[in-house]
Amino acid sequence: MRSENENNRTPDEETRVPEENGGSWKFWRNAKLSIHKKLFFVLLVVSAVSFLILSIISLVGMHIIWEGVGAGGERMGHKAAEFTEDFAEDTIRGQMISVVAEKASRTERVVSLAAEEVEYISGHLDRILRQPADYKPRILPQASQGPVPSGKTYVNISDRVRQTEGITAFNEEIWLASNIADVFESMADYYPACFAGSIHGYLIAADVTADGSDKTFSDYFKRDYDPRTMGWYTLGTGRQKPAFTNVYTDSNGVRSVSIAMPYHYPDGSEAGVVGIDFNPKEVDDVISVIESSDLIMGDASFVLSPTGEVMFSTQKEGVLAISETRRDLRNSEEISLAHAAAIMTQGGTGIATITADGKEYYLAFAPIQSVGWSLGIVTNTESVLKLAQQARENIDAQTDMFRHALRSLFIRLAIWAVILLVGIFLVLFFVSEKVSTIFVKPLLTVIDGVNGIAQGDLDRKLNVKTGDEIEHLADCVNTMTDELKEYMNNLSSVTAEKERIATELDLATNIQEGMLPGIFPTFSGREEFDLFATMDTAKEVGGDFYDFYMLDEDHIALTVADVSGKGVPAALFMVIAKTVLKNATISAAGAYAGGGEPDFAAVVGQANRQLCENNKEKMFVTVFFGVLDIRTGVFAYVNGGHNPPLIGRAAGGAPRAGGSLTWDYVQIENPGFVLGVRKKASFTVEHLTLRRGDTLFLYTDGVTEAMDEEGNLYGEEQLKGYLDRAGNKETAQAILAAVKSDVSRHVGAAEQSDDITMLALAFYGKQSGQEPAPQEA
Amino acid sequence: MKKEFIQSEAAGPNGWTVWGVSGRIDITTAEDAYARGEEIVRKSGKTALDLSEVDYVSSAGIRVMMRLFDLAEDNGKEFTVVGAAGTVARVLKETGMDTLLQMQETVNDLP
Repeated sequence: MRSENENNRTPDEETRVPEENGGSWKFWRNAKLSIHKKLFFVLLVVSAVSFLILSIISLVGMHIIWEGVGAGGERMGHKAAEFTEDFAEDTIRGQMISVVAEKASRTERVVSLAAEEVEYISGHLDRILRQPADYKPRILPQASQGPVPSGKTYVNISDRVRQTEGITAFNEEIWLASNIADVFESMADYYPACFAGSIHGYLIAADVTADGSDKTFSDYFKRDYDPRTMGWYTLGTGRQKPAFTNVYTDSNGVRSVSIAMPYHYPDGSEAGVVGIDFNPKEVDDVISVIESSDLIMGDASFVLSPTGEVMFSTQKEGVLAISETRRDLRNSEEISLAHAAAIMTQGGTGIATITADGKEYYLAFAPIQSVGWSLGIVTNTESVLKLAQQARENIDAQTDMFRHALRSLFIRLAIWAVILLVGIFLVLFFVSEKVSTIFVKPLLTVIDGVNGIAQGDLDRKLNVKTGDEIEHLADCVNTMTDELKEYMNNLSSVTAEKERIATELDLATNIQEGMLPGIFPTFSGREEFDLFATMDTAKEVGGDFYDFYMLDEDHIALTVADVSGKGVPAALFMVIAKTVLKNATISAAGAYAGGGEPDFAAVVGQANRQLCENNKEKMFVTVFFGVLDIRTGVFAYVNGGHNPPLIGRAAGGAPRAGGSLTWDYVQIENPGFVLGVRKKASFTVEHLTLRRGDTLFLYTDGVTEAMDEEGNLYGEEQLKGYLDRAGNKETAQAILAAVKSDVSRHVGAAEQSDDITMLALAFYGKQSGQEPAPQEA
Repeated sequence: MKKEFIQSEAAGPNGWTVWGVSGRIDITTAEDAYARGEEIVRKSGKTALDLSEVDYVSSAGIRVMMRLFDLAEDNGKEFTVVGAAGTVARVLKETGMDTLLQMQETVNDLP
C-alpha cells in the first residue's frame, strides 16, 4: 500500500531538486530510489571511481615511464652513439698501431734475414782470406769469355780495371776468393744476385736471370765496369753491419735493393764489399697485405728510410709514393707530415693525424729497428669517422626504433586499458546489479511479508536467514505481528466492551435528553410568554439540565441546574435531582389552590435533603429554580449555588413590537448553597416582577466559562455586553441562538469543555383577562 | 493566559499549612488536587488552600473543596480557603462555599 502511495506522488514532488547547500546529498536523499537502486549505484559508482582512479594512475604512470624511458633512451642512444663514435675511432687508431707494429715486425724479419745472409757471406770471405791453406784455388768462368748459366758464379775484371790495377798480381787472391762460389750458388734460389767487389776492382758474382737463361754481359760490363764505383760498394764500405740501398731499378729494369757490407783481409783491412740483391717485392708483399678487418681501412703503407725518403710504398703517386727525387718527407711543406716523418726517422712509435695531398689521414708508425727504417700506415680519417658515424647513426636509428616501439607499446597498452576499463565497467555493472539483488532480496521478502501482514494476514511469518540486521528486522516483524495479533485479540474484546459502554452512554445521553422537555413550542396557544431552552452537551454525557412545567394554569416552574462532574454518575445524579426537585415542587403546588404561594425555600430544602441521602461521593448540583405567575409577572425564585440569571428589561414594548431590552443580572440576596452536600443548608425565596416584554435568561456556567484556545473565559461581563448589543431579538429561540453563536465565536477552535445550557423566557403577560398584566415601567 | 497547574506546600502563620495551587481547578485537575489535598489535610491540623494564583474553579473544583472540608471536619481538623479573588471568589460566593468555609483574603488573615 505504501509503495502505491509513493508512486502516486505528484510529478512536482518527484522532480523537485533541492537548492540548499549540500544539494547533491539532499538530492540523493530526496531521490526516491529503491534501496536496490541506491545500493547498485553506490557499488557501481565506488567501484567505477576506484577503477577509474587506478586507470588514470596507471595511464599517467605509463605516460611518465614512456616519457622517462623515451627521453632516457634517447639520451642513452646519443651517449652510446657518441661513445661508439669515440670508441670506433679509438679502436681503429689502436688497431692501426697494432697492425703497424706487427707489419714492422714482419718487415724486420724479412730484411734481417737478408742482412744476416750478407753478414754470412762477409764472414765466409773473411775466413777464406784468413785461412788460405784451407781452400784450393778455384778458377771461375770469366765474363769476358761469354755468357754463364743463370745462377752460376763468375768473375769479371773489366779491361779498365786490368789496365789500372795490373790484375795478374791478384790472381791467387781471385782464385782463393772464388771459393765463395758455393755460397753464392746456394743462395741463388733466394736472391737474384750475390756479389763481392774487391778493393782491387774485380767482381765475383752470381746472377739469376728472370727467365733462367744464361747470363750475358754487356760490353760496358766487360770493358769499363768497376765495382768500386757502384752505389752499393760506397754504401757498404766501412760498415760494421749490412747497409741497405734505397730501392732502385737495375740494369735489367728490375726493382731492387742491395744489401752490402765489407769483407776483410786477415789484417783487418777491407778487402772489398760483399752484397746481395734483395727483391723489394718481399717487403712490398709484407706492407701491402693488410689483414682483413672490418675496422682497418688502411689506405696506404710505406717504409721511410733513416733519411726521410720513402723506400717502399703502396701508393703509386702522391707525397707518400716512392719518389724518384729522393725527397725527404721531414722537409715536407705539410707541417704535420714533416713532424710525423721526423719522429719516424728517430725510431718513434705512435699515431698522428697528418695532411697529405690535401687529405687528412691517421698515420700509425713503428720502427724497423735493424735497418733504421720506419713503417707507416695511413688511413683516411674520413673513412674512420664515416665508420664511427655509421655506428652512431646505427645506434640513433636503434634509439628511434626503440622510441617508436615504446610509443606504439604505450598506445597499445592505452587501448587495452580503455577496452579493459569498458569491460570491467560492464562486469562491475552486472556484479553490482547482482550484489544489489542479493542484498535487497531479503528486504523484498520482508516488504512482501509486511504487505501481506498489512493486508490482514497476521498468521504470516517472515523467513529470512541472512544472519544480519535484515534477519533481525524480520524477527522483529514476526514478534510485532505476534504481539499485534494478541493485541488485536485483546482489542476486539476491549473494543466490544467499549462499544457496549459507548452505546450505553449514548443511550444514557438520549435518555437524559429525553427527560428534558424538548418539543417547542411546548406551550402552544400560550401567548403570555415565549419560552425556549437548549442544551449542547460536551463530549461525554453531562450533568446539566433544564426543566419547565406548568404548576397550574397560571404558574410555570423554570429550572436550570448543573451537576458537578461528568459522565454516568453526574447523569444519574442529574436524573435524581431533576426528579426530586420536580416532585417536591409539584407536591407543594397545592398551595396555589389555597390562594397562597408554595414555600419554594422548603421545596428546594426538601430536594436538598433528599439529594444528601447516601451521597457519599459528595456529588452536588447547583440549581436556579423559579416560578413565574404569568398573570402578574411575579417571579419567585430560589438559588442553590447557581449562576445568577439575567433579566432583560423592555423599553418601548417587546422586541417583537419594536421595543428594546436592557440586560442586567438578577440580584440574589442569598445565593444559597449547592444542593446535595449539606443537609442543613437553608434557602431563601426572592421575588422580582416581570413586565410586559421583559425577558429572563437562565444559563449554566457552560456559557460564562466557555474557554477560547488561550484559556480565556467568555465571562459574565461579555455575556451581558453581548445581550445588550445583540440580545434584542423577537423570540427566545433567536436570543439563545445568538448567544450560542457568540459563545462559539469566542471558543473558536477550542474544544467545548462543558455542557452549554440556556433557557430564555420572554414575558408578554395576559393579553386579555381579569387581571391586567403589569404595565411597563 | 492559562497558568500551568502547579501545587506547593508551605508553613503559614498560626500553625496553618498553606497549600498553594496555581492554574485551573477543573474536571481535568480535580483528581490530582484532591489527592494532594487529602494528603495535606490528613497530615496537617489546619490546612488553608491558597487560591490567589488560581484562575478558575469549576464545579469539580468546588466539589474538591467540599470533600476536603468534610474530610477535615470528620477528622477534627480545619480546612479553609484564602486568596480567592475575581471569578474564583464569585463562583465560591454563588455556590455558597463562602459561607461553608471561613474564607480569608490573605494568608496573614488566617486566625
